[in-house]
Amino acid sequence: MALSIQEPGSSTPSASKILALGIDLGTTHSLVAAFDGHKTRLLPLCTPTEQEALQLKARFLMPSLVGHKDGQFCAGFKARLLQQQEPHKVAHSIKRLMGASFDDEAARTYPWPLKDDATQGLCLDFDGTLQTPTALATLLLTLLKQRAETALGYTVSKAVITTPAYFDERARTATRKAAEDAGFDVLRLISEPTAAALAYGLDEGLEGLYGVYDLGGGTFDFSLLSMQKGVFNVQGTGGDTLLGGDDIDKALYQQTQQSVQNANTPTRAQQNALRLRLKAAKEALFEQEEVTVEADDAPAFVLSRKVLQQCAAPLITQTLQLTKDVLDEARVDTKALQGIILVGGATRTFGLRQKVESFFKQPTLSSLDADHVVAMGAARQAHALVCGGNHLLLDITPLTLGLETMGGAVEPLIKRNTRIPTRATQTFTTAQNNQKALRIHVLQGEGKTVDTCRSLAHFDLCDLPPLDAGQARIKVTFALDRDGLLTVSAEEKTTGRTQKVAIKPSYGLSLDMAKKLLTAS
Amino acid sequence: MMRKNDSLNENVGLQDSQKPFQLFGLEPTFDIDETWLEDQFLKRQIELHPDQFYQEPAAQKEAETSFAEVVQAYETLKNPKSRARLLFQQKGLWPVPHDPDVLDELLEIEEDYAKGTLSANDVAERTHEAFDALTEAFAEDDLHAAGTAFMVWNALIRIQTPKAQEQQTLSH
Repeated sequence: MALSIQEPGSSTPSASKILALGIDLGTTHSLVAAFDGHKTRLLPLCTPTEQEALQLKARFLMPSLVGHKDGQFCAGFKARLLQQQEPHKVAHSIKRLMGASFDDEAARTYPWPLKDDATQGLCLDFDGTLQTPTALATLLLTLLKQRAETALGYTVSKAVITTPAYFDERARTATRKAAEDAGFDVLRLISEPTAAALAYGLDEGLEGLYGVYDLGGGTFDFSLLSMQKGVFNVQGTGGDTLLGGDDIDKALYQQTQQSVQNANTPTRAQQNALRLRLKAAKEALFEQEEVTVEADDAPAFVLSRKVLQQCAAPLITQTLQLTKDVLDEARVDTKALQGIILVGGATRTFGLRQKVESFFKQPTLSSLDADHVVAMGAARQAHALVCGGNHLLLDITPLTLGLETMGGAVEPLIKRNTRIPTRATQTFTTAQNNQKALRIHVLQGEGKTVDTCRSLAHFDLCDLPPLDAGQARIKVTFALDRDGLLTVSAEEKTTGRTQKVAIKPSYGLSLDMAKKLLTAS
Repeated sequence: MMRKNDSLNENVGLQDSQKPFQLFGLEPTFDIDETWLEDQFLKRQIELHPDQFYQEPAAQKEAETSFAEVVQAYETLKNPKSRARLLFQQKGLWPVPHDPDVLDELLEIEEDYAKGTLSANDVAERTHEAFDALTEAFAEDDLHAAGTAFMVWNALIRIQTPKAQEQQTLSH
């Protein structure tokens, strides 16, 4: 089958009508873009009133915030307005919790009261009202859909949603579920750096081997991609889903707390207010030498670029170490790279670009807006999946998938950086005589033992025939689809008994419920 | 509790062990050029990727299976160890029978390496030699020689793998 399905530049009858959206569900902001066969554009998401009230330069970036006041939920711009008044009523960076459990590091470091609910799992506690991260993502996606449809003037359900390249199985499943619950027909989940590369490759005509350095509010990814004649070939990826611009804000806050002598311990509301001002100051330092920061409980102080750079340095060093790991594993020298694409709002932190450029010993590309480029690439992919396109995206799985075996060891079935879709089969056997059931424990990660990997699911293959240890033949198959989502099946060969399990999405929210909760937005 | 069933010959049937080669239009062989394999793999992916069949759901489903098979075959063939294993399995020689003479030799190498009388460079050179011997033995269909070379080559690689790397884990 030929690669070119639609001649570039040729018009189709439906060229102007948008059939599918590209959505960047970010830690800090979310965006929606659409490609009509000729041009990619971002959809305005806020009303003129909201734009004025929030003094926004552009209408494309919806804050990824969910607020709760007087028993009502609000999201996006309304939540931003609430945050300006009562920051302690607004939850931010919900993306960090996607697919997480109560005991995970993501939850332990999250600045909001959390509960481990018996049926729903990890929940955010809004004054006694519990909501899962997936449900909150559904609120954001429901609002994005409404606003995008208002901008277009018609309904669009098909969408490509982006996730960090380094998102694990559970975070991906939760994202897909959140989007489906919001009424989207999810065409595909694609990774953010890949989406950025698509936008550059298709809109700017780049060819060759590129590195994508993607630092968002909460996540960091580095991906290596080759772009040749419309084929986008992801060759390696690495990152940290708990490393992002938020950590610079946190470091700035701690630094400030040390230097400001407080007579009284600040209240949570005061703390939150200061955090917000520091975040704004960090952004302002990209353009200005220094910024004066007001504090509720202490005198105003001046924040300089030097202090910001000191606070950001450890984080940047970590990202460059992760980048080096990806390059080393792929045996690629920085000299072999045609260019470096910068993605994510946090790449606009003063001083970061220079450090990245000195690491790669070459200038970085930023002809497309680092905030916009992911949604734009997603829009291109969405269009291609519905109308055909003249490009092909070949993606990989970022983390190794395996099974628990004797002594808590993990046997890898699909190794990281394997092309998807893929499948792998391996035969296992029993460890004891007349063993009646076999526990299949699915794990993800690069560790060699169960406690160093992330547990994804377990199920029991029951009613095994009575056999001596080592006699049973249990064939386990992992199937990883184009979204990077896993289905595991196990078959006992002598009886032919089969059991299948898909990695269960976390507890979510129905669309009706989401709409009801969002009446205020 | 489940146990890995690595040492069983029936793990992969004869048909299964030939399939990876067939998918790349090859007769079973150990001598595969990596660049050639990469190139072929890319061609197959472009041909078979399910996204290329966006208008035909039935063909797309079929393509998803074919694509996954090609990926699986590529992953097996690109790794010389799993490639050798396939060839041994085809001949009913898996696991490779232990050669007591070779075991003694390996123990000696390991000791010398631990003591430092054998340098990392020496081990690397010997690894290359063992690999070449393995390639040649397969080419000549000398399975006994191939088995011996395989054991030596495997052991040499194990010696070189630093302990730190073996235990390396990610923090989350």
